[in-house]
Amino acid sequence: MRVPRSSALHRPVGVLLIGALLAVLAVFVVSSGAIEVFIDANRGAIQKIPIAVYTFKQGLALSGQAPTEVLKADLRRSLLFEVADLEKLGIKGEVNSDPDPVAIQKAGDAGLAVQVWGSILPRGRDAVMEGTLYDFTRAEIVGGKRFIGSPEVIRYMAHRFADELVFHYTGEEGIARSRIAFVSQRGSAKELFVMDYDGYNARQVTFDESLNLAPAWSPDKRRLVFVTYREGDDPKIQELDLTTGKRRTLVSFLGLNITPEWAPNGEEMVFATTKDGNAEIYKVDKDGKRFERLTNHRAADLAPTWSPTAREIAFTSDRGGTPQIYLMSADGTNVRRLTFEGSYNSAPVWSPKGNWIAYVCRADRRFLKICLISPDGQARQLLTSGSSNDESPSWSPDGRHVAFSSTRNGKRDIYIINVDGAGLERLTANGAFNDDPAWSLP
Amino acid sequence: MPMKSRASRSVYLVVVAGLVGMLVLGGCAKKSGTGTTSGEEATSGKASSQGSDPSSQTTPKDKSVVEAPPTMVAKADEAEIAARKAREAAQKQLADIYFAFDKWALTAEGKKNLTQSAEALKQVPTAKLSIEGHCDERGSREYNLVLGEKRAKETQRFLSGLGVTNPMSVTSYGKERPVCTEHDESCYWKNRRAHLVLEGVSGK
Repeated sequence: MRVPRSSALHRPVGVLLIGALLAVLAVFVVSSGAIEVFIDANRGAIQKIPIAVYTFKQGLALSGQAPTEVLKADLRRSLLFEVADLEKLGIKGEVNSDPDPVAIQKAGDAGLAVQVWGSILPRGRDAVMEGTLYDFTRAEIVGGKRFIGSPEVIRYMAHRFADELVFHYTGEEGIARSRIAFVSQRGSAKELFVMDYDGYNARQVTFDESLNLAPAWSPDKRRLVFVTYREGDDPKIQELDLTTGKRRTLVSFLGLNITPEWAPNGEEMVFATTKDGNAEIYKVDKDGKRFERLTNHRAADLAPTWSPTAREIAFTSDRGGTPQIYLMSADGTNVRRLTFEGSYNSAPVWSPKGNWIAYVCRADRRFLKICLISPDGQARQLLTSGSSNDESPSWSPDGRHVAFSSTRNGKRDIYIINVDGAGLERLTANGAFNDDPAWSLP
Repeated sequence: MPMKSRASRSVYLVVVAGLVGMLVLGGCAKKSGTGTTSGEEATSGKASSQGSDPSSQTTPKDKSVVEAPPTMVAKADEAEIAARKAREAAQKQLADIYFAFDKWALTAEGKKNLTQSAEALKQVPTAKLSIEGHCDERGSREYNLVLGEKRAKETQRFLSGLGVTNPMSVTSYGKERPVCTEHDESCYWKNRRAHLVLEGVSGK
């Protein structure tokens, strides 16, 4: 999105002040009854920081995507930076150690007040990545980072550096080191996988040759909770510790046990079960001992999602005749309907920023799409379009992107898209059916 | 998918295996009548229990093994075979039940098929029936799990109403186990189904 530049906003200091102001506004909550209203802190409202990223000097042979490209992609996805095309500007992007002063001057004159360069050099069997942050208007280096590790983690170092740059300018954690869990079909089985947020380094984590669905992360990023048919014909909720490989069963009532989601503080989990005859929402403590029933209606209530303050829960209910999104307090009181347009609205997920709820909406008995609605029900928009089935939305930890699965390329793959509808990016392309993305914290 | 085995069935199998084992050790052909005196069947039936006659060493069979009466072994074996055949015959009668889009109510056609299935089930009243609900792809994943279960439960309710007393269990696979994947009604209708499976019958 091109925004006209004014020279006053070129100063990173000015941007930092605006960013800080918006960050303050973002945590200001208006309480009217139980409704939470968050001021939209979407980055579309402020101008992006123009940045020049010189090609990192590489002292060791690397396969795969160049680290400079990884860094540039991370910076673009943060929606904070406008990464300049140096080649187009006639500026030499290759550097030996530091870029030559002529290049720096030319980039500065082109409006690129923020400039970044670095190197990746071997040290014994390790690799050392050094990155330098240069402020053209102050004509000085304002930051630098050095990472040491095995060459296998160079991608991770680039992600880390991108996150450091985001933090430098906003005080917020970047998302470049977050991961996405998802389901991939292997023959007739559906297994759980985990990949980096940009689609790289996908690895399989269950080998059950059964059906594993709907993964959700624990807030500490160590564990996945999910629905499994491994233990019999009825789906049960299990948890897998990714660091130890240990599994435990959390919910195994007679009937369907589905749609688990951890509370933001990791102390409780909400889920739905049909043990009472119809689907009802319960919560359980993290040890799986104390259950508390939240809904009590003969209709189907399922797919609960926590607000970021954990004071509210959004969920799907067909108590009105068709599946729609409802809200309730975290103790099950004050149930009220949120969606009134369309005859099929389901699978809500609440943004970590609190300002939007993404969900699956179906128009005209045909295609499933991803929709957004504000928690007060006032603003509603269609996020995805086209003649494909788009499902299973999941928010990035910064609340600026939504991951989802889509059939738009024939099979089914995981995609991410910005909250403003731009930046559609395909993450999986392995020929299998990939679904149910779950985006971790950074 | 591992089936749940019942203890009584395991005991039954052990008994049958034991009886069959003894039959093999006895080495004699099954005859429902009493032991005959034909030369080549010197160890059949009761003849072998009448002591060891050195002159009948011409037969290679071990006469010292006490055999179970052949009639008991034959009946146990036949009973098991007959039960399995009856279940397989009943399974063939259990047609899938189909549903309208987004609906879990039984159609007239569905009720007719279930009435026929009920008759088949009454022939094997102790056989455990599993009812699976399924959906086409046009709904969200989790709501389809619930919709599939509604279809399975509706089917179970109707069968109970017809007097079916088989133990029944219900589950749902939502849209996770489709029988076809084309994106049009020619495939969609086949997935909106309740699928009936008897335990202990191959070819789920």
